[in-house]
Amino acid sequence: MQLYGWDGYNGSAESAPSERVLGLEIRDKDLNLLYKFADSQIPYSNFARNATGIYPITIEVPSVPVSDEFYVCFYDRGAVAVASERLNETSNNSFIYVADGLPSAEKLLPAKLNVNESTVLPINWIMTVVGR
Amino acid sequence: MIIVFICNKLSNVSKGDYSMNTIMKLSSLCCLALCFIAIAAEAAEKPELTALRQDSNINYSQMNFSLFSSLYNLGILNGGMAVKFSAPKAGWKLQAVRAVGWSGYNESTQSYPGDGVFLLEVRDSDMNLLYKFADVQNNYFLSESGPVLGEIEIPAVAVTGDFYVILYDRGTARIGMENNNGTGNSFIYLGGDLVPAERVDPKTNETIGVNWMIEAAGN
Repeated sequence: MQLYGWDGYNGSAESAPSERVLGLEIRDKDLNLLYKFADSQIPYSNFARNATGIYPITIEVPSVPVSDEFYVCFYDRGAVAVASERLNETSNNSFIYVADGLPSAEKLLPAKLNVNESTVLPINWIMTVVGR
Repeated sequence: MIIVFICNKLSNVSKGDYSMNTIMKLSSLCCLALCFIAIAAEAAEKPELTALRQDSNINYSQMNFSLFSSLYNLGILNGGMAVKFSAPKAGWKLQAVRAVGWSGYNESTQSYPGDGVFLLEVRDSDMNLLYKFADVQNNYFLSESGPVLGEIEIPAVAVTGDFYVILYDRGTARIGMENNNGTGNSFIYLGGDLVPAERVDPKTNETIGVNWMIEAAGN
């Protein structure tokens, strides 16, 4: 799995990120959990590569058989800011996932940014998966 | 438990997306505020899973319990709180582990503790490792006001007969301990050995069996 993100490091010593733990899940089309992983962001993000801006974050996972549609869920937990693509209309493929407390049909909310109180900006998360 | 996080359905994402305008969004840290769990509410929100308990099985709000840490109470980092369960039927799969726990809150500074990593294991009756997962305690046991029932969802793990759920708190969160009514199913797991979970009453010097407040949920 790969996404584009930034851990806040801009080249200055003061901006060196504190270690946090990010989370990754793979779920089937019915949102059943297939794989779950958590780790420090440091080995994956731009700081460890002395990069000062947005950077590809690649997380290798064990082979997970998937069929039909599936979801990759990334928990940034404040460790990295995730890049997204601005859209003119609501995304069909990027969401905020509300894990519990809602019926299954309402767990996936359209990914968007609140520009102000009356304006929201639909977005796509910039994430890819690789497999065979 | 309510957690908000970033999710992407991937079928239409291509490398070409990278050339488009991008914006950065820092999202879910603030959403930790939504992770608090009301014990009763949690039970009500997961009717589809069967929760197994090995304590006295009375309502947690009525239970005589305290909070326990292997690190702070026993001085051991690699000791786990183990509970033995029995799969209720053939083909039963463990899908979540719930535990009463608390990572703490500093009233004077009004701050939460820093993130620390705890470990979860599932082992079969011969202590063979079936599943292992490490994560930050604050994602499950964060609260201003005391212990909560944290749920750790896991990929379905097929279990048969007896199996063990083991939580290694590593000093990151204290886990609920029913102070009496020991059922004989709670242990400290250390160096491959299961030691019965017991405490000594300081007044009577009596050894009393205790129960870890850990649930196994599945169907």
